[in-house]
Amino acid sequence: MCRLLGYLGAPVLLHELIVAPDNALIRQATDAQMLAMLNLAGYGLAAWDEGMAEPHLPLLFHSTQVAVLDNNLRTLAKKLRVGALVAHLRGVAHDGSAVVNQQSCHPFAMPGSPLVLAHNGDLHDFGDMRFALIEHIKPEVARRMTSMIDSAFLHALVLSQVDDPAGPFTCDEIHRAVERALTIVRRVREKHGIDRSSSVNLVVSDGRSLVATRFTYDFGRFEKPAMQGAVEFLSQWYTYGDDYRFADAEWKMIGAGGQSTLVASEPLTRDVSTWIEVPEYSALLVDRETGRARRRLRPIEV
Amino acid sequence: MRVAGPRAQTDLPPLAEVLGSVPLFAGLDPEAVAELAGASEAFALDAGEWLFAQNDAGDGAYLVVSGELVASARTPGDGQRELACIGPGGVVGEFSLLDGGRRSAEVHAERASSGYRIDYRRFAALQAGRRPAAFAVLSRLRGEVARRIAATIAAMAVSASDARKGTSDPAGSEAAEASECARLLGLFPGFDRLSPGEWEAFAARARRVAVPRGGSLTWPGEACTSLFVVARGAVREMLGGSQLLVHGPGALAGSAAVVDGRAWPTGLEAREEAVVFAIAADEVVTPGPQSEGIAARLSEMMGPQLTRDLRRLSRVGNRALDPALETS
Repeated sequence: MCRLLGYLGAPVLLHELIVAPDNALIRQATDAQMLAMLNLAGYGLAAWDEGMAEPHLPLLFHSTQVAVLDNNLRTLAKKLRVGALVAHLRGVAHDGSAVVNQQSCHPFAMPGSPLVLAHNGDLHDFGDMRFALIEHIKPEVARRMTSMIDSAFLHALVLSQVDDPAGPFTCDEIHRAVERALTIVRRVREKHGIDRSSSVNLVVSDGRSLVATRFTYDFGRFEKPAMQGAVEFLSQWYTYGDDYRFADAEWKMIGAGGQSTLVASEPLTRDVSTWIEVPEYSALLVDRETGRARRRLRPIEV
Repeated sequence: MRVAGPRAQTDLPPLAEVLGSVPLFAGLDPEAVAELAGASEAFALDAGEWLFAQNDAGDGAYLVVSGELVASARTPGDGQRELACIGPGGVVGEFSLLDGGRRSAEVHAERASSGYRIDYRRFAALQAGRRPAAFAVLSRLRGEVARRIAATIAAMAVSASDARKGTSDPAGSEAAEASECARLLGLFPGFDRLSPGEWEAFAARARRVAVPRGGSLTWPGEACTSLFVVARGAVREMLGGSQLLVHGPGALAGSAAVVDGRAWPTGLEAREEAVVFAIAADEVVTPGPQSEGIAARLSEMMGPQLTRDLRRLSRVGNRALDPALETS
């Protein structure tokens, strides 16, 4: 079912976000605290920093390795400092039905576009929807899709709702594109009579803004056995501070100014005291367009 | 520097004397007092020592006999906000007796303090044995949590002009059928332990209500006369157009309003097309061990639902502390 993480703020060593904390992202591959599922089908990250070549485009890294076992990831994490990040662990059904390859690892990206998307959840009966969604994807985006899974389609739909996938974007443009994509999926579901619970927790970012959704279509409608995301609203948490570091024997955001934002499927520490839940059926918008960090919560009424 | 918890104390007045001065326990009969004494032990803290940290496992309720404790909650950015001062006759951590859940605040001794701790595990044994002390205390605790939820909601600033009404009422109600109740609810905590006879009793007390998306179950400003067990879909609690809580399958929506019994400031509406089983409030808000079977089961299940709702509402309130949050 996946775990994801988004960050926007003061530069921080990647290791301190995805490896070091007691509930770090890579540990959630086998020991997630808020998901009764393993996340073994690969991982990926999109990272930005002003010191990189072409700093407006992300560094992309995907692998089908189990994140917690991959020494390359740990080595990379100790050397990479990031000011923006979208990272993801992929979890799939354990029945052999899922395609596990590098192309299906999140976050999804398109060459030349800074806008990436990671997804926690799944679209029920997606096979019935796939070709109906194609008509809503711009040809220049569809040509560059390398995966046919539901999350890849969500990314392609979002990219198809902006004027130019190369950007630049405002946070509101990204938010509107996400809402339009969710509306399109709602309509296709209705047309195909799909009414089973389908979670769409997203982190979408271009390295300058971030939109995180906590949303489920038809929450509470399920078949037996009921999946966790159908009977419990999949979690999405956030925290903020001026910078992120190890202090008083724990990893945490420190500082009352709140200039950095961390969003994740579940808090990176087992102590959740300093984290807040993104409301159900809501989007958290994070940007620095005014020169200072700004966070907004918007209901999703799709 | 934090110290890991309190130590034993021996020169305190008897627990029976102490309980009489604590509103939550006042008026209990001697048998109940004796049972609570058997589940308790003395504690002491020096000034500056910590009783427990936020997110610690709950180990029971602490009755203060002397000194002063301060409860505070952590906020993002490593902040902290003071919640309450607890002096002689006060009690802290009592909600852990309802669910054994993790601490939602941290408590330290502002001055050297001492008192009694009612141990959660021993209290849970009283509850499992259907002892009078447990029933009396749990009933009072549920009322206290409901009052705390009401106060938390009242503290949230809402513009009355943003008040939104549900678009339509439920499509009537009909008698519930035991096999459907069991099929829809049987995999959820609490409901998974009901016997066939208890399902029959549940169905006999419940009305099956189908609610379209946007349909209202209760209206703001009215007393809640039913508890709504969500079987399918989702129900949300709204305050003046703002979503406070979402209740999915297995949840007992309206618990606080039912226990409180007064006009309630929020309304319940279906966020998704929903099926709920409505049970009259007086069927579930029943005191004492004489309430058997399904009524007792539902009362017990309301305790964890109430503490869960209070924790979630506290986090909702924490959003307002964000210095970078734009609300418009």
